[in-house]
Amino acid sequence: MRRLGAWRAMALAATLVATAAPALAFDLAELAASRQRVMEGTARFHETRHVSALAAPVEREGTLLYRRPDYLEMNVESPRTERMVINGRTLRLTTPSGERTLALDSEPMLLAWTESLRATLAGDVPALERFFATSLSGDSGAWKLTLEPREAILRAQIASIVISGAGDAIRRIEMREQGGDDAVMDIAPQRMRLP
Amino acid sequence: MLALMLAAAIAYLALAMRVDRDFVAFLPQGGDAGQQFLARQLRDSPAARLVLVRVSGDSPRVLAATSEALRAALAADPHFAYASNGSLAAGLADLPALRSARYILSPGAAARMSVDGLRDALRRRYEALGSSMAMLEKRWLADDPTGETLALLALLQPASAPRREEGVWFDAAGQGAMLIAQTRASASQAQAQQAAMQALAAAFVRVRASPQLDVEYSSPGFLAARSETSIARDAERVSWMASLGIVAILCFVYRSLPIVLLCALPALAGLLAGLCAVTAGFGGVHAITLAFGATLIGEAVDYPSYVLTRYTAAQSIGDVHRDIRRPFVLAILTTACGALAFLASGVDGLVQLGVLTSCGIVVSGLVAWWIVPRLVPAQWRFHIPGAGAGGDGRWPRVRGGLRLVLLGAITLVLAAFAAGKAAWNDDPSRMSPLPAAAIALDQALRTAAAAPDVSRFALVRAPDVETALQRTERLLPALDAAVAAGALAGYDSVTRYLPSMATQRARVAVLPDEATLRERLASAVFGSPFRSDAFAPFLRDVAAARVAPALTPASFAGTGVGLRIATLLGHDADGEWSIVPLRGVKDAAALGTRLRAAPDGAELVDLHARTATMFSQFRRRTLAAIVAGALAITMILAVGLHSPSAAAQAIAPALLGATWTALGVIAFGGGLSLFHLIALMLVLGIGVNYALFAQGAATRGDAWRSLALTLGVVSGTTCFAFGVMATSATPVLRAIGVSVLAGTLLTLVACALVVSPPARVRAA
Repeated sequence: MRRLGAWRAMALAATLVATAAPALAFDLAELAASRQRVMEGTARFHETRHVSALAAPVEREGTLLYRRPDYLEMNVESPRTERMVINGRTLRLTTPSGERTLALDSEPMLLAWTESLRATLAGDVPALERFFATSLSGDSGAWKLTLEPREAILRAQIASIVISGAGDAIRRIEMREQGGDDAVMDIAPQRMRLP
Repeated sequence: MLALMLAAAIAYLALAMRVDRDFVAFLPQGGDAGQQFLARQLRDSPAARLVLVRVSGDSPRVLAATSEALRAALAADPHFAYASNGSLAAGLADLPALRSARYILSPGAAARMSVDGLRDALRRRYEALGSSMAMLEKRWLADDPTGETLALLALLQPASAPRREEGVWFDAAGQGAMLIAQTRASASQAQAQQAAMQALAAAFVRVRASPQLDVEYSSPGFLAARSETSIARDAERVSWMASLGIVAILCFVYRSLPIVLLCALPALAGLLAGLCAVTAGFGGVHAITLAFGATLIGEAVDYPSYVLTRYTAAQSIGDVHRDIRRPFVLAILTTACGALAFLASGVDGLVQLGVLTSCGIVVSGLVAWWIVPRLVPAQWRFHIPGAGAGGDGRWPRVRGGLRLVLLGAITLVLAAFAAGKAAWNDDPSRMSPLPAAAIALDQALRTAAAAPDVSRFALVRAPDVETALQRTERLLPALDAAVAAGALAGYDSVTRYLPSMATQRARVAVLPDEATLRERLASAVFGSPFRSDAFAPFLRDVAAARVAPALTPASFAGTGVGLRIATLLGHDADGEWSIVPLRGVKDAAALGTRLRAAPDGAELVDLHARTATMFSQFRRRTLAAIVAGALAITMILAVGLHSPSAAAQAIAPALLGATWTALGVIAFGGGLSLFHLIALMLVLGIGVNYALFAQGAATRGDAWRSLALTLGVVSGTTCFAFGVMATSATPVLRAIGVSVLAGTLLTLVACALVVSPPARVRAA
């Protein structure tokens, strides 16, 4: 445990050094600050998911709704309607065939994926840093935040999550899995409410 | 001479005595098959080796980190066979063994391998890939398109699991992270359990994220180890305080240090002799016997006082011996015979107690009679305080009629309070030698961990493992019917994790061969969104399952599934057993009938009811032993006193005292338990002693003051010793202390009312 702690501290230090260089241009704190002002936002999304077992990618479309601090809603319109509501620590999934509720705490994979999105939306750097090693490149006009899972269990499935955007808008989320599968979500912000 | 014998006894004990710590010695031997199973389960079952741990005192995130670190530390600790905190890491450790056995464990897997079955499975997997849960659903896709792994995980999900936070188990309030661990040592190996407790505490201190975190833990094994240390510590404290108090009383009465030391000699010699006898007979002494026995022999402190308080300036030792020979001999014989009644109890610990006490009492008596007077300093005589003051020889006058009225009144008042209350209390938790706080913690942790209630289960017995598993499998249709009828909420069966060889062979036999499956899969994939070569790992794994070695309990060693198998399947002297824990039993009697009517006839066991039954049988046996003891005492008295009426007068106060105490315990103490009966036996012995000496004094026409002084000294030391015991933190010791204290005082009252000098003495 102690060795792991030291290892983490080193990783954190390395991250700090890595992010310190472009700090003059644009850093994580600045990105977080810009996101922290957003109270609510809606967007349309288009997701393309490549699964090696499938001959063609799975395409999904719909809308996203985020509300500070931890409410996230995803309404899928095609190929099948589906509504996913993440509120605090629970996830509710409603499909034409029924509804199911999951505790995020019981599915670390789901929790990590949710936090990658929600903590970025909220500008919550500690929550991001808890699950991922972060690195930010670009400038405020076009930035790219790369997240790599810290836990070995998560690393076994998720290689990286890359979130890119401009200013306080998130434009694209790419999740790359070990084994080559990936899911790319393009986001078109519609409306944003600032305080 | 005496010194030599004492030295020899000490040397023998030092070489041969072993102090046993197995608490099963205090459970009845024999009994029916279910009881024997239960007794062994208490001692040996894997469930008894399960430790529940709660870490609290900080935010859930910090607790979760410590929980995970503690789990890893315990999993690597040689004292523990298994540890889990519900984390994914813990779950993943179990997964490989389960996954490789999925085509043997999952019922109906072969049926899903038809063309239609595969097509249906692929359609559902494709839908899942289009959902937001795709990340979870596409685990185990290529090698398991029919979803056997997910089905198995759902099957293994316990009916009641603790809540999770930060990926690990938490208690319902979210205040503490919960872990379970299993010790390698069995629950009855107290020292190994203690070592495991220390290892757990040390591991916690090593890994905790901050020093303000708290850890609590409990397990049957730890409780047993704790009960032993707490009894030992309590008994030690009681012995020291009682000894000091008794020495103080004796110093006050005799005002001579050598005499006080002499008074301790018979008790010491008796204890040594008793221990030698038990060691010779049993090869060891149980720690609890030792604690109780030392107290019972505390009665022996009284013997020298019976002699020495009469050794006044007016009497020689010869006079004293002549005066009190009969009551003294009878007192020792009756106490020894009363203790011998425990020999019939059939409980090892009580038999040892009987031997220890009876042997110790006889030796103490002999030493007090023969040796103590010889060692009294030549000039010493007992000085009756206040002797010479007027009126000290007269006996109090109470009319015969008034005596009867008073006796009747006391009995009636106590009986009125006791009326309508349960006479017996066989609640096992009251028998527990543990402090109530330890039991409460255990309960709280059990609830917090949502530990499955295994108090009701179906018990299947068989000569070998395969038969046990087959019989369990044949029992399940009856249980399924009970679930469907609403008589039962659910059950857990070992055959979910370890099917019988017959079932394993049957499941393997219907798996399609590689060519057939390849053909079916090709038809199912054709026209689906899946690529034609996507499921090669599936073909490989099914082919491997067809030739895989059969599952045995060893296939799951060191995993959570292995732990569950070990809890549900085992063997003892009567062969193999399999237990099927039952949840939510509506009507136990009807279910019992249903189970007995099943093909091989299983037995429905209700652990709580069984334990209570066991203790009540045990208590009845002890009661019978006490009645036998009382009869033996009466006969000895009738022969020894040459007169039935004198015998009746000698035993009446003791019986009255014991009856009043019993009524008092029923009225104010919540009912009689086994340990109260042991206390009553002691009250009976003490009461007979008092009555014999009172009777002797009355017959001889002794001065009232002299008798009052003798009884005052002996009852004073007894009351002090048991009064200290009544302050004990251990429920059992406290019950005995309170009962004997009350019994001794009540017996004195009864003595005063029953024993009266003959008319001629009163007249003088």
